[in-house]
Amino acid sequence: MGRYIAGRLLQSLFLLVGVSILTFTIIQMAPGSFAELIGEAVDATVEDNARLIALWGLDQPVHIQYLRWARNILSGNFGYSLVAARPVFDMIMERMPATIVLNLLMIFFIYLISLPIGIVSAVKQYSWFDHIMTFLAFIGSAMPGFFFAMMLIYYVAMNFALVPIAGLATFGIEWGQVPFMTWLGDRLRYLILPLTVGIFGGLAGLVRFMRASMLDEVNQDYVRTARAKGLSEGVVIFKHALRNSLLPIVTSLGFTFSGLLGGSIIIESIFAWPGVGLLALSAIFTRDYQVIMAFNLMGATMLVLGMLLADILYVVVDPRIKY
Amino acid sequence: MATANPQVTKPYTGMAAKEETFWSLTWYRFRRHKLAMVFTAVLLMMYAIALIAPYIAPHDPMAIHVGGRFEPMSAEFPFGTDRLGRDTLSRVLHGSRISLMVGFVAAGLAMSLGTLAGAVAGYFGGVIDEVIMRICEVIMAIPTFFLLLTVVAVFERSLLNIMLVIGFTTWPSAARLVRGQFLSLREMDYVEAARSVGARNSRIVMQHILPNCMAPIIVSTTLRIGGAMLTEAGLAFIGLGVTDPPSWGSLMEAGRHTLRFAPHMTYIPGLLIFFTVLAYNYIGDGLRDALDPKLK
Repeated sequence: MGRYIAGRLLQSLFLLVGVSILTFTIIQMAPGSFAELIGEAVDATVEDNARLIALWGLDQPVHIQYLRWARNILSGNFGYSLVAARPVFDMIMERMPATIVLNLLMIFFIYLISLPIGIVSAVKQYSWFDHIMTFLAFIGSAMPGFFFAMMLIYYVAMNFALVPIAGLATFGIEWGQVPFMTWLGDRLRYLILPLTVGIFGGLAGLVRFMRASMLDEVNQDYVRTARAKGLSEGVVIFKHALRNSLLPIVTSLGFTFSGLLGGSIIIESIFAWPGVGLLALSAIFTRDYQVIMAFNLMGATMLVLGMLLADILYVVVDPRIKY
Repeated sequence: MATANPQVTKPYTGMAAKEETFWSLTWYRFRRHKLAMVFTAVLLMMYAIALIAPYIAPHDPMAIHVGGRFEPMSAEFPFGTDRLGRDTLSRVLHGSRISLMVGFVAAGLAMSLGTLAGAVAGYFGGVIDEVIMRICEVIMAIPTFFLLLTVVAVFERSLLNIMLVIGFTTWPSAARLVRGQFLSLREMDYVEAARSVGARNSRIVMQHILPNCMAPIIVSTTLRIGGAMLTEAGLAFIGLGVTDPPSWGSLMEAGRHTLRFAPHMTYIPGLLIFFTVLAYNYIGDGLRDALDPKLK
């Protein structure tokens, strides 16, 4: 097991190097340099521009620029945003809590809702419940998330003014300055819409996945054996079939967590949720390369760790698998 | 999902006289999936309308009707007008050509690239396989939507570029699918037999292996078309879409700013996207049942 994990870590490292080279290359292909953009904005002279380019090392060959960037990353320096004039690491870290809260709650509710639906759908295959849920899953997977968001905004937030449309909190309601319940209530009210859209978007896929996984198991011989020896239906389903059908679900958790950072860009942009996704989006519009690079690298790191986690979980929950 | 039908194994009465090819059997099974049939008809109609859109659109989608901003639905403007006084119905009709094409071309590109890479990797194996699969992993390791955003933001924003970008960022998963099929099929006895009589690699791949993995390829392509449409709409909604003429996603993006007093600007294109993707998903589902009855 130890050797296996070590090998996987090494492999992950190569993957991350690949991701950084790919992102770096895409960004290098962009027409126009950042120094020119700045120069236009502040009416810089040609000499000023040349000085900036030399200062930021943009006159160096591409591979030198990349190696310098990589060396900085390895020493924990994520670079300096040329747009915000701040360290990229700080910018990302201050956005992190909002994104993590939103995505963790999203993942929690998605699993909480879809697992039981998927299980019942499979056990009562072709029942009216199964048909309705299958139909809803089709609707859910075809509905653009932002369209659902717009409808919610129009019908819930605009027409009835029930919940706030955008942002993270009401101005002035800060931690420690108001009673805890007031603070919590305010934060939750702002969470409702983004959370609903996020949960809705994730339900369909997981319901189908759980249903398929459970169907696989209830048709197995060991389930028939369990029934044949007279076990009650509850024991057959929950003790025998369910446990096995959860194996692929548990491993999928690893992948789900990798979406913690990048999974909610559109939602964050619709609801002005001040998370990492929104930061990355604005970085793209302003060509803030350091932020784009850092975000891609962090996203890839999460994915690689998620995949590793999935593999380890596989061994933990399924004793048949050994390395 | 189609219902499992115990009668599938019955002889096909009334069809016995005809020659039963793989495709005729597939069509026979596909027709039993009612929803898939309905949505096939809907989709064909949409493509037909998109094809003749310039001839049936009541107005020029770019023509500005001065003094007619945000007109409600009327006889002259069945879907009203937008913030510049342009006819929404005409814009939706013209937009249909873009939205319907984007999904088709992007998914086709992703699937062709993926099939090529996956076939080469799966058939030859070894170093080639390793290299191709590592490249796939690198592309898949970047959050897809953000990779798209990065590329779209960097390159000139045009319809062709957006289709290319969606295709080039989503092919790795297709490659993995095809590679998996090739890995198992290349060990089959009939492949061994073909090799033993001296068939060239190209012949084995094109004549023997590829036809046998067409079922998952076709199903996956159908489902990808809907996915690519959603992706394009997402990009457009964030402000990175084609606007001249606009796609359905771009129309929604334009509508979101006037949601409060002109909600139809948003929900008409939104519903169209929704129904098109739904149609592709149901057709994909029907095709899966029809092409591979074992899978049910």
